[in-house]
Amino acid sequence: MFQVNNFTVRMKKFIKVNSSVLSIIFSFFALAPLIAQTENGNIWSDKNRLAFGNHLFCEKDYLRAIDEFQCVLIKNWNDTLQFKIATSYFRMKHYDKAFNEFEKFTPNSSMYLQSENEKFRTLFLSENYSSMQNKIKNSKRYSGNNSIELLRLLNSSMLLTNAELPQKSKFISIYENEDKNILSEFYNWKENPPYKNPTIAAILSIIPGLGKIYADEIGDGITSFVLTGLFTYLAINKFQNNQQTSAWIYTGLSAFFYSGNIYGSYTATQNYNAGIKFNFENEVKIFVNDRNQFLPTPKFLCD
Amino acid sequence: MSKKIVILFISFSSIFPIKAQKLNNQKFFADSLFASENYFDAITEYKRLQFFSKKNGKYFESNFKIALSYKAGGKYDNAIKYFNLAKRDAKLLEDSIQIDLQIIRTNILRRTIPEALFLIEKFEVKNVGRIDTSLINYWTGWAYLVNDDWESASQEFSKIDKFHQLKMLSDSVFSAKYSVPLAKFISSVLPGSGQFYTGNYWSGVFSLAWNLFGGYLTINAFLTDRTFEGILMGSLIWARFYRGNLTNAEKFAIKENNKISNNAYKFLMEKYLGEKP
Repeated sequence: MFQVNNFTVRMKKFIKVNSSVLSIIFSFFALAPLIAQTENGNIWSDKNRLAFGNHLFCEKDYLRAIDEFQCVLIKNWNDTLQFKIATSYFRMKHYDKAFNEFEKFTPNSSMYLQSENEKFRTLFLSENYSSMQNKIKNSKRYSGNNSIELLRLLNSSMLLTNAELPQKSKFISIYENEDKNILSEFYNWKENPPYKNPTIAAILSIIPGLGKIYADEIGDGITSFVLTGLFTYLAINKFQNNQQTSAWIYTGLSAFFYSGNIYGSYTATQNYNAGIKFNFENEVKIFVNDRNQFLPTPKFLCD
Repeated sequence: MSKKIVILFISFSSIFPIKAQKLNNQKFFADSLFASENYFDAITEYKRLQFFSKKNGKYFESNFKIALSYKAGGKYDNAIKYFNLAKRDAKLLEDSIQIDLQIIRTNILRRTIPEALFLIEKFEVKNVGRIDTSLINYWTGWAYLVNDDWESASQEFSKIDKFHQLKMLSDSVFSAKYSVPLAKFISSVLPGSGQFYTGNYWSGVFSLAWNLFGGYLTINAFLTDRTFEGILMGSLIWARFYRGNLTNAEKFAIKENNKISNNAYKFLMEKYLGEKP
């Protein structure tokens, strides 16, 4: 008991004598975490810029997120960050920039495969089908024949270009069973598109309106038939009654309507063909996009 | 002993002000960007401020400034989103009123006029006795004005002052505008007169000439007992020119009215010194 009291007294004496020194030592220990805090608390540090960039990315403020990521990336290359920059452009539908950013991944990169997939996806969505097909065919995975996703995307994109399709059974075999029927229909359409021949339409227009009816414009066809018929009748009638001036006016009008009927039938058929091609391509795009271009979709924490 | 306490206090307290200091600096930086009208960067820095000052309750001002920046940048949907966020954190009634007005003004700029009018009505009911009614009339007038309804705009501005500058402007625009139904009506009586009324004289002359020609052919055919030909001429030629004449009269009246409105909007944008949405 005496020893303890003696120690306490001595300590008190020591503290009293050295109070200033002790305060400084204590302050140093108190400031130590502060120095660390300054590093972490620096909102412009790479770590904090990255955190802020991720926050913006999750908030879908991609343009600002890119700025933050790029500031960090400029000092240290980081695959994930580069991928996020490219994805940000992709999500803003800036496909050209997204492609260029995905293109920066080298085969040594751990995210090369994902970036390659995204490049194909970007090209598909920007409707650069031929370029996408060439890139798929040049990729190692395609030549190694070990990526069914790429084959599916490639085949589907061929429906949208003039590329020659493989045999039907081969074309369809790579797809899921539930997709085979619709792809079979697409294949048939592509091989034998239900186009109408503009020349046939023009020939049919010898009988006014028939070419238009052939081009699925039944109302226009009937109008064309009635008008041309009427003016021709009037012209003949005038000639028979020796009313030369009127007769020639009506002859001119019927010739005008008749030639217009032939030309109109020709263009109506072209329009018809363009319309059904547009609808077909739209259906294919919807089909492919519904399946995320057959490629695995990258997921981020906030997705 | 007291000396020790002071040193210890400084040591402890110095940990916290650093962060607050940095956030203050950040706020100052964002404010300076906002003040220099560098709105894109201002938004980034306010968002950064918010991100690093979580739980510090600094959302009202930053959200409000973000909203104003978006508004200035023409991103009205985002502006409204952030005004609403600012409103959520507003503690003072004046702030809340200010935000409500900004939302109304943004809707006017966004040309979602029914929404703006609905919000004005709601705002008026909510703040009876608290706000000057001239404020309500002023923004209602602006909503009508942007909606190209100059007569209603004039009525609203006249409630503030019978000689209010915007009332005079609305009146002058309203009186300068052509009546579309009148243009069509007079053209239906005398083809081409609607075009004359709107100052498109050549079009009026051609319209009249074509109608006279079509009318002559038709009437002449009937008078010479060529009934079938008369029907054909009337329905295919005369009717076509007559319908074209009516369409033209309407089209020109609308076109000229748009010109008048656009000149007024140009004046409001460039020369009007009062408060704008």
